[in-house]
Amino acid sequence: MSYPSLLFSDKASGTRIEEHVFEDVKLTAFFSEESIGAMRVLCRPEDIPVRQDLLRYLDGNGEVRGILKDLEAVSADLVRLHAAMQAVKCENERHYVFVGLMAAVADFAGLAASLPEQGGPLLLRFGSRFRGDFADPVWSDMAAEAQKLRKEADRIRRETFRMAGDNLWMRPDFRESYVERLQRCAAELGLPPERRQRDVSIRLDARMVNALARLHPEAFLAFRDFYARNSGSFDEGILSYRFELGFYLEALALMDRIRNAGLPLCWPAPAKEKRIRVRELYDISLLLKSGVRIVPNDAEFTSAEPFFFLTGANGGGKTTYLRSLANAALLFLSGCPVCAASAEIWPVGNVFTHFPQDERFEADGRYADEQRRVGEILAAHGGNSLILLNETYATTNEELAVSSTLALAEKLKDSGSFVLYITHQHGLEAAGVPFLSVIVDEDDQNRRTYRIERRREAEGSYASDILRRYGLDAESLLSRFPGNGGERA
Amino acid sequence: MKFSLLYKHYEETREFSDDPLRGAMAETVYDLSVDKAVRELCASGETGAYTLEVLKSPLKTAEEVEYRQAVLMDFVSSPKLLEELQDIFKNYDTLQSDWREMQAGIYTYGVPQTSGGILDATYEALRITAAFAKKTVSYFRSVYETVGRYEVASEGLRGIREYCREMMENRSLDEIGEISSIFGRDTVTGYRFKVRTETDDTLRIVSASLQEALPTEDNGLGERMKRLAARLTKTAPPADDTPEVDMGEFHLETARGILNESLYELYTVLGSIAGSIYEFFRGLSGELGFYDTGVRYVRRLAQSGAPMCLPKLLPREADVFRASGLYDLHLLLEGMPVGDIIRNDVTIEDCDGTLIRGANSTGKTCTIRSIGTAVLFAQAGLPVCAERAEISLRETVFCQFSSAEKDFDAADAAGRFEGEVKEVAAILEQLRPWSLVLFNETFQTTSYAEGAEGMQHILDALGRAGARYVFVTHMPIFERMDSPRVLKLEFGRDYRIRRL
Repeated sequence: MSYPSLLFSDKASGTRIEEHVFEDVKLTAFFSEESIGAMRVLCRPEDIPVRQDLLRYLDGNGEVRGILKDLEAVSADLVRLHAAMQAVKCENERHYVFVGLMAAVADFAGLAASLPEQGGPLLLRFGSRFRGDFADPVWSDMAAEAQKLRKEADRIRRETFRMAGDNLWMRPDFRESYVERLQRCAAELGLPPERRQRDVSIRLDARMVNALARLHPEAFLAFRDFYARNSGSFDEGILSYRFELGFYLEALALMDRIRNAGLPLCWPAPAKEKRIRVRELYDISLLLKSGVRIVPNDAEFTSAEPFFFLTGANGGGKTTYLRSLANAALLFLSGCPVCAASAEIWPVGNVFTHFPQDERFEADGRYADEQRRVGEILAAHGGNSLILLNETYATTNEELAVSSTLALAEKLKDSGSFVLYITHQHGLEAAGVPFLSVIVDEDDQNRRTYRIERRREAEGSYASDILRRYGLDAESLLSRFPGNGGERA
Repeated sequence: MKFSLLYKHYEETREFSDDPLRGAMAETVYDLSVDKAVRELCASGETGAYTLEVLKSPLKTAEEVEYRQAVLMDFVSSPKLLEELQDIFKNYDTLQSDWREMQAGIYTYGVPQTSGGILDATYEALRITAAFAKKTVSYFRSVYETVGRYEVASEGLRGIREYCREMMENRSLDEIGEISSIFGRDTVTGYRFKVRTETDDTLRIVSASLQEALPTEDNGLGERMKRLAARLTKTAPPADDTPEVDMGEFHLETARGILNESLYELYTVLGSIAGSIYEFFRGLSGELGFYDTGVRYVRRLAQSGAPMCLPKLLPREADVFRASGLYDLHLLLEGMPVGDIIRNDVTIEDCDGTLIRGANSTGKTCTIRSIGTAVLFAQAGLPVCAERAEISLRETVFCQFSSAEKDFDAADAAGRFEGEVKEVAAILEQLRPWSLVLFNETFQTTSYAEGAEGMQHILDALGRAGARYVFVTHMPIFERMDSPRVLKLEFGRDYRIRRL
């Protein structure tokens, strides 16, 4: 019986998001490569609420979440042991490793079968599959034997080598090592624990494994016999749980982290008509910086207004806004909650980003590289995507940049895809695309507010005296040092 | 873990930490010309730099100050002890750097590529580390014997002597020395080994620990016969009755790999432990450099016939600065005869701050510098330039001396004023209660009326923040500041201070 997916009710949508999109919007800081791999494969829209239900259930159920963590740890062992099986160099080694592999399968199945019969269709199907295994007495006996033999295998993992000149002997001889003696002395002297040692990984060659078998003949005969009876029982399909479980656990860890930072999270509703409406959206990547004030913004893209240029001062929060929007879409499409107060998002067919990438262009130059990447997006977006362009064409001369941008806007504005295009270019009004702009506070030394609004005319200059600028005027000082702080003598 | 002669309660984080106040203290040392004084007194640039670092970290309790004062007085009484300890710890200082240099030397000709070369290099690293550990351990005896030859009264020096005695009698330290002594042979071929390994569940060795290293007997006939027999039979006699599988000599590469890992593990652990033991006395050479500066300072004042005193440190809440016969060290070091240096009695108490005014060249700057230097030196455990002094501990000392040379464009008064404003803003940014802020002619780069008004708000704020200030100025601020908590002093043409 094959292993059912924890990510898809039936099968995936068949669309994959480009890997660099996750790098551009910094989601790679929160998800591992394996989980990003899972997020890149888009599910069908009907599976989004199914995943949301599962995540919601896990979020509120610490015990089940704990089981999933244990399952993930065992699945990592399965992947490792399976790789070792592929690389064995002698039969004794094959028999030894197989015992461990099947014992891990038994561990995994035992944990999966212990899941409560709750949590939505994906989890129910998963637990039920493994409960079925245990109902089979042949399988149950195999699992019990594998776990018993593993104890025997663990027992013989420690040996001593005697070395004299070029000669080598293997023997069971366990005495306190010099390092253990030193560590004892150090502890008695109250010294701090020594620095971490490097990882050792030396593969025993076939002769050595066979020597080990000679030292422990009964154990290795039992391993051989077990392998002979059960070698056809292992199904590689179980290995895919490694990244499926990883995705859910990392999503839950991210939710914890966001909540611990006191920030809102919401479960977005799939929009019934083509639009993206997010209230108090913020950029998750700001969590990576300490002491940053997070300023939320709203986003609204509709069929009537699917495309915006975003302009404004450097450091005003344009890229942050773009990332927030991309993250909201990507998290929603993966079935995760998004970083906002509320959200309604159309399940777009794909997400594309176009960021400055100095390292990517080759002999043809930067502009040619940008055009090539734009061409790829135009060919792939299919009129149902979210396209995020960050200072595209900023590296060429202004005339060419403006004409290229206008041409691109012409192709995208009625295409059916949602587009946000950050640019410093002037003269784009002819595109007929509305503008968003970052707001500066003219009454406060043009301080960046990190607020994004529809553009208004906003020019101003700094005008305050020097003392006031540095917070040394009477009012500022009184506010900072009100007195009666208890320290005054 | 570290023994310190500078700090009674040593904290790793305290010594020359990344405290943002250290930047402000660097300004203070510059403005008060303490850096010049230290350069004048110190034996070497290195000692001077260290002494300045100590001065930039004022002690925060009277207990710490007294600890340091007592050690200094021991060294003033027994300068030979200071010399001998400096010699010992100068060598000690090079131990670790020599060890590191020798380790780096192993790879002078590149990283070895063969298993034999790698094994030889790892053994060499272990041998060098074992020698470092042995030498480090031996210092406890040297220090104990040296300090034991002198009469010392301070807690610091008596403590180091007692500490060394305890360490010399410590069985664990002995055992570390014994293990280190095993690895003195030139090459790895001089030993027979037993290595304990542990594999993971895929039969990969994940740890290798050396259980035994027995030096082979190079010259004994019996050993030679054993080796001959081993060569003939391709085996060697078992060490004991433990059952074992003879694996012959077909595993050279793997065996070397296993042995290499076990030696490497021992090398890293021994290196780490030796490094930790070395920490006990690390930095003492620098600390002794500070005391060397202190002894030279005391000697210089004594030779000049200038008065000095170990000040009595009072808690910060006592909130006083009392000094009789206070004078400017800078004048003395510039060569002015002691008799020509004006000494003033300065008492600052029961107030938030002090305003000082007076005609040009009447001693205002010398006085504010003397006050600041006295506080810094007192909180460094050094004597101060006065006949008698009682000083409350200060959290830190900030300075804004507009008369100090700065990188302002003299023609750009607006720029210079803004520069001063920035400096004052930076002080307020870091201000802590019980700080002392010294202003010398601040804001005189703008109109006096505007400057005085600006300063008044700032001084009021300092008072509200629980900080204390001394402000030397020509600006018309005396009339503006009519609080009874503001002390007003004026210099006359006779260089004497009068209270207004």
